[in-house]
Amino acid sequence: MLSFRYRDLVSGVICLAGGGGVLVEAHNETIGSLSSLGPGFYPAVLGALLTLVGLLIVGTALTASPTGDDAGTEPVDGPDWRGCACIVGGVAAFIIVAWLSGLAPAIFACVFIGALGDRTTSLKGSLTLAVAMSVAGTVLFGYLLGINMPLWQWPWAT
Amino acid sequence: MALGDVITAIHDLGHGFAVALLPANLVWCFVGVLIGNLVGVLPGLGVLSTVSILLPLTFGMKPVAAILMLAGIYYGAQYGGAICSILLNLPCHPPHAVTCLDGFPLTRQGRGGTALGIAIIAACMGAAFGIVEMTFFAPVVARFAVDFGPADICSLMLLGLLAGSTLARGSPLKGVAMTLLGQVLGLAGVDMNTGTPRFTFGFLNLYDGVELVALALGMFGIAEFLKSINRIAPLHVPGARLRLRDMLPNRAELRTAAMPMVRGTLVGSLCAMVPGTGPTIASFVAYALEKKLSRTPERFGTGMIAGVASPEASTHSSVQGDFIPTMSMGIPGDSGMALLLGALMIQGITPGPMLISEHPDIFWGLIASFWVGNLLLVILNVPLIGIWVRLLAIPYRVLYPCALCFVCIGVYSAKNSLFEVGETLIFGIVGYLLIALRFHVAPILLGFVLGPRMEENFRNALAISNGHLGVFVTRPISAVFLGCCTVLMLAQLYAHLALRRGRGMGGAAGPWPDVAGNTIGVPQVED
Repeated sequence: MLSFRYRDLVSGVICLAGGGGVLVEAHNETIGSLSSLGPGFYPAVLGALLTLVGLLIVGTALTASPTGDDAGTEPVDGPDWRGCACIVGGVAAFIIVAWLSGLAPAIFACVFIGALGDRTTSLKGSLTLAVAMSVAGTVLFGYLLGINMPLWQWPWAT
Repeated sequence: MALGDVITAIHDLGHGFAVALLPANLVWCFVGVLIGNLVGVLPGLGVLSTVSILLPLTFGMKPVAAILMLAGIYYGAQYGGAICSILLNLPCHPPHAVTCLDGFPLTRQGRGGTALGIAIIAACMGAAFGIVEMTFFAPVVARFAVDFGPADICSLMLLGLLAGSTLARGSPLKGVAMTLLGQVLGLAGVDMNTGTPRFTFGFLNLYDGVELVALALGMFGIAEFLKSINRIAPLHVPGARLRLRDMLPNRAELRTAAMPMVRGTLVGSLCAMVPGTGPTIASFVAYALEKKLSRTPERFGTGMIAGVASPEASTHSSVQGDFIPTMSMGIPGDSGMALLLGALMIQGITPGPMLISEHPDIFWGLIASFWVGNLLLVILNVPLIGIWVRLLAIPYRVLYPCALCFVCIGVYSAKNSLFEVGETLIFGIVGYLLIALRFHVAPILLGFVLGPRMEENFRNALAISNGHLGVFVTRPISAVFLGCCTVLMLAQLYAHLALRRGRGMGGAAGPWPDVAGNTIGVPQVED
């Protein structure tokens, strides 16, 4: 849905913003002198270079012929919202559940939510996979590899 | 190279075999190549994410065993990748994308087994050459590199970063931007010279810096899942009943494949010498060369044996050769090598020219394990090919949730902290956005691993020269590297302008054939 030149323009602007951000952050540190560089010097150089590259990308985006450069003219598909939400949700669930009640429930939550992202997976399929992975993961990581995380806490104690 | 060097190298290699054949190391090498082969076969799992998932598990292992296993995954995956390309036309692994062009037509003609057989023979040949090259060449390079001062190292790293980010596919400018982003991420943490925290934004967890595993798994794991989900069609596996007999190429086929293999091997080893050009470029160059030299270039893409043999030999020769700059100078050629280098540093081993003399066990043990590992891979792939082919049928909907939870657990165990899991999630989302904007995320890892060392050497160089920037051009070695950087940039500029003019006159092809390198599932192979 993004067409090619627009995409490059966005890329360039992001680089510009990133470079600017790094410069601002580097400004907090001392630059030092050339013979003894302070902690702010190298970040400032990186920030400046990133800004420069950003400018160049914007420049090529504005002057490139619309028939395309290396990236081609094909539009990008929009994200698969359901899939992306489930993957992000799965990892987030892992963090929260692991924090609250340990490894086994965390694996279950992560796999269950993650698996729901696929449009061909049924609820039952996700459930089966999640149970299987919880058992296998707990045995493998909890008992065999000795991960440093409580396997199961109920009611949660943090 | 004097005869003495050869004898020393052979003697040291003997020591390496003594290390690699220790039962524990042998088992880890086997585990490594087995896992590597597995992820190579499975569409949707990357080498980089696998190495990163397993990286935390190696923290408790001895350095030799850890590096043998991680390296095994890296080259083992190259064997598996060919299976996917030839039988299913799926460029799951960028280096094998070109193999699809002629490998899949061969499968459609019912000669998939032969193509696989040729690929394995080519792989062995390429790998063997690469290993021999490393055995004799790396110590020489290291001896040369011992004299490098901070300024020289700094310029060399700059060359490595520039080559790594601009020679790969995609826009060179975007590649440079990604290298810079990687370096910025490498800044986070307490500054080593002054003790001031930088780029930590008040998070105590960031005082140690960004976790390598979190970055790698975010960019290559989660970002990949976000991109591939619901885009990978369920596969129909054609050659499920592949027999050993089908894999033996006949004499005529071997004769056709022989010279392309030799040429591919040479191209691969040359590409390994140039910093920043990994196996992907090597295989593309080898294919292009083969097509150019052929008397029947128009038949490429319809199932030419040479189109399988040459890129496969080239990939493997380059994969093994890539270890040379990594192990002898501490300069990784691509992101996979950057990850291995990171693994070494986590083990407390300083990469650089001193590695070979200070840790002969690691260096020679690694080389010996290459021989062992490649032998194991042939054993794994030739008689057991049927099993691997059946594995191809595992659907992505089962694969990715499992991988997702392995990612979480792997990142957690790197520091026993959930903060890093959150870090991974953020990197994953950012990585996905960057991929959608047609950035290539691999150079980020290169910048991240090299960045802190580059800054340190930059500071040291200036401290030694009392703040004279001229030191970078007055030292001859450094000047040569900077010269190479300049040539590289001018060449890029020239290519860019030429390409633009070419487009205006009706469109010239880019430097590399544009085979899907960044998409899995939907083959975008053009002919």
